[in-house]
Amino acid sequence: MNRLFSSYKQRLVLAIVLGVLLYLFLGQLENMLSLRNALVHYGLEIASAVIAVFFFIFEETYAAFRRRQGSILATIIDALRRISAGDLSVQLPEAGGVELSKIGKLTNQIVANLKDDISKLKKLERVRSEFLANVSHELRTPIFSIQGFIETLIDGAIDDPGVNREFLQKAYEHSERLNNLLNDLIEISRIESGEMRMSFRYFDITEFLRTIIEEMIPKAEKKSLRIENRIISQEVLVLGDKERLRQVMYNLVDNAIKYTDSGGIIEVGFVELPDSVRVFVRDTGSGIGKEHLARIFERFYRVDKDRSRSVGGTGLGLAIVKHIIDAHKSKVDVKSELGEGSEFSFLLKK
Amino acid sequence: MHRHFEDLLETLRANLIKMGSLVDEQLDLSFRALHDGNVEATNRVYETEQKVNGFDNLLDKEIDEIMALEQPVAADLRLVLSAIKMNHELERIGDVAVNIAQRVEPLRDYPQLVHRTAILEMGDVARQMVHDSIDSFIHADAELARRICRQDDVVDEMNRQKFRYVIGEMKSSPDLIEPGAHLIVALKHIERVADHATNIAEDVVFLVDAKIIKHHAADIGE
Repeated sequence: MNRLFSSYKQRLVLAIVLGVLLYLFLGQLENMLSLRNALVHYGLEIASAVIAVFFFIFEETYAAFRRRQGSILATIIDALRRISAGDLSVQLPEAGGVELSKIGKLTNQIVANLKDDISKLKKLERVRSEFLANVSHELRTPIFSIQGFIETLIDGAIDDPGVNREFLQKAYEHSERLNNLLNDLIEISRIESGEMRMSFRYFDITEFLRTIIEEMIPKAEKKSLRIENRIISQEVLVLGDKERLRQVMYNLVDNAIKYTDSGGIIEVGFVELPDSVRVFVRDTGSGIGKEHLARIFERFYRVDKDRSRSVGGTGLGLAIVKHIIDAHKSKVDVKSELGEGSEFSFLLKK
Repeated sequence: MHRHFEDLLETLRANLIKMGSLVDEQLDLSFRALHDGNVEATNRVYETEQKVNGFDNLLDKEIDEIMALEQPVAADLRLVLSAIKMNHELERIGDVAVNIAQRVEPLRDYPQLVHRTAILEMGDVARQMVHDSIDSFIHADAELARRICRQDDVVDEMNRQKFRYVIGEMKSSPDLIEPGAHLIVALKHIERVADHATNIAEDVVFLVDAKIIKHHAADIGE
């Protein structure tokens, strides 16, 4: 019907024809029923006209509605075509009938989700390529150093008693650094791939920290640093993966030793709270600037590139620490003042 | 579920983990003492045994209280039933650790025989099974628990091989008959440790999946 009477004129003619037919039909009906009343006659005439006019108005409104829906559908189809071609800048009108506005809203939501996913993937890709670039750079540095010392030795320095031992020692130190870096890389990839399962056990934090302190004292003394034991309680059982936490404590104390100048003090201990203990490592070292605090747990993030290189870290220590503490459903808190020192702490469940 | 009941179950879980942590450590101490012939180190095994027994009584009391006052159902009931069995298995592993520690002195003067038998090789597998079974309980990991059940055959085979080796040594030298007998007993104890770990793993599968797999009641490879 709409195709046959798609134009305004056609619909007008149709309404007039309908009105005339209705009028004739009602005239016949009037004759058949022998109604000879002027009031009835005029009434029937007016009724025919009114019905014809209402029919025309209805047809017009319906046609307008169809036109509008049609144009919205065309917009949606066009938008979907553009989306399938990869154009995500499309924004659909959230108008029209209830269903059409729902389609518009949902499509916009799908596009927004797609945009989010794509930007996440891009970020991941960027992090991955940055990580690879960092890894190759970090691996290359010790390899070049080792090659350099060995080449110098081959070129004759091996017979020079003044330097040969020293060069070998340095090459060995760099190979050790390479080994540490590879171990950390293996560790971090195991943690991130979820391959590493935590073995949570209850253990005595007092004895645990005392052992760590004892083991780290020689390293601190080499740099004329003092490690102070701040443990005041007797046996306190905490829940955690002892071996992984040992790694956390080694990393934190080792960092404190690296970034504290001779004569400084490192404090290790814990504070007992009602349901947990807060384990801390404090130092009187160089401190970390506020702008770096949020980023120090990122892999290979360096606050001071030159200094980090000279102290010989792998750049992965704090990333590993963060992963392990996260796996304990806890969080590493850092307080630091430039030139004053830093405090790293985390909670463990009792 | 009201707060008090939740707290009771949480305390029960925490105490089971505490007991498991002690048993895990106790086993490590006794195996190392056996390998190193270190009689002094066994003192700590005996000390830990006191604590393990304390937990055994404590858990019994807690389970009685939950059963009598709370009448748990479904998953909560499975936790309590598993706790009864795990408590028993852990306490038995503690006893076996003491039994192994008691073999340290008679074998102290025969380190070569102990090392040649590579008793620690079998001990490591059994201890790892106990370690993993406790982990599977903590993480509610039925997959890991099923893997532990399959490991039991490895320990059984090791036991047979090492038994034959020790018998061979005993036949070749009468001096080795007495330490050999002690070593066979120690091997049997280690084999029992693996059995207890398997039982715990079976309990964990029951706890997590509500399936009974002991005595091959269900296909453990599923």
